[in-house]
Amino acid sequence: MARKSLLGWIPEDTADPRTKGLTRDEVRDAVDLLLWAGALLLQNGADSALVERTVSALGRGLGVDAIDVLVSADGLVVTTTEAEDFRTKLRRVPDLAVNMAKVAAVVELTPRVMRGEVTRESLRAELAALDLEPPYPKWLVALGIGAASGAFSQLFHGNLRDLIATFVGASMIMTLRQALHKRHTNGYLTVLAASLSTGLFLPLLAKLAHGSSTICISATAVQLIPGVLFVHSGRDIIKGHLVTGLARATKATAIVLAIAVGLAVSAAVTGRLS
Amino acid sequence: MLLLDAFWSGVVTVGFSLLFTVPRKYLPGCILAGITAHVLRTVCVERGVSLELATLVGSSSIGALSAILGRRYQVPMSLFSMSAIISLVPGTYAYRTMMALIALVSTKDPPVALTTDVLVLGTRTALVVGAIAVGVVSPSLFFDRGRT
Repeated sequence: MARKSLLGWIPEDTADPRTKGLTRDEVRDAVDLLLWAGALLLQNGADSALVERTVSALGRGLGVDAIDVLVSADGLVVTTTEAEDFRTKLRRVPDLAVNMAKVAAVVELTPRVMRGEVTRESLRAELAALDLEPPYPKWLVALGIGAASGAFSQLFHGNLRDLIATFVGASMIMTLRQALHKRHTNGYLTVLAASLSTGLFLPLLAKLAHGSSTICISATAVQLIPGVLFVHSGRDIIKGHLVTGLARATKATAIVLAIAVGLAVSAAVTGRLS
Repeated sequence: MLLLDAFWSGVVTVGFSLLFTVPRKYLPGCILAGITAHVLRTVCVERGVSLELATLVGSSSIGALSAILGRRYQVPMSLFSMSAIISLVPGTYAYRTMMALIALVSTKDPPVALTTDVLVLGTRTALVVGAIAVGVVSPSLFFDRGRT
């Protein structure tokens, strides 16, 4: 379908995207896949520069002429240009937990797409398979966080009693977080509940094991600190992604406040201040 | 002593790698970065370097190691750095800042020493967190100059 160009100097044949490169339907398909891959990266804990770079590379691999990617705090916009024709699509990206396996899998796909080993169809299948991939079992993560917090109590110069109390307490707190996460509880509320129970139960555990409550509480609460958000915020700002950088910094600060409120309230309740 | 330091920071790194779902084949890289950073920081602090500067040294080693590993395996560097930085987080400082802050507002006529505590502890916590972020990111800026 050759259209008359509004700007007379553009030759008619190049106004039709189907005369070269991908057809309109193929471009639409490609844009969908690009947004899908980008959303997988963004919601599983990739920084903005990585999302931009990977989506652009995938676009080139799929045969799109020119591509522009805008990463926002909770969404992604992709515009592709084929001759004079362009397609723009926006996708909202809700925040999820950090899952480095998915980020790595999408990034590992990129060179294969660019070499032409993965077509649009097989890319769709690979992304769908990624969505189903099971993470580490929850009990293993809970025990791992328990062990990590126990290790923290040693780095904070605690003794064996602190190690035991922190291991038990931190595993329980992690289990609580997993249970709340499964019920889709608000993220800040989850952190608040976790820090509140840390402040209430860890002193008890510390007392039982004759350990130090300061060491036990701080070693357990480290798991709540949004380290990934802080570092990604710094990375985004340094690399010029101010909007996502500030959004991440704001979120990290809000989480720290939730931790502080929980610990402060529990401290007031247990009366360790007086 | 240093061996124990390495062991416990390794345990911290493995635990948080599980939380962040780092694939098993990249775990050795995470552990290497986590242990190197924490041992470097401990050595620096023992030699009399301030905790903030020592943290910057440690986190820069994470940044450099994860940039090298990321380039070698063609995966994002944050795969290695995310769980490695956790052992550097100033947990007790943050906690003591907060408790001092609460004590400050909940006592009548707070002593000056308490105000100083809040300021010193709070500033140190903020500087250590800043040192972690800057240290992890800046080495990649040298490695990735051609890219965005």
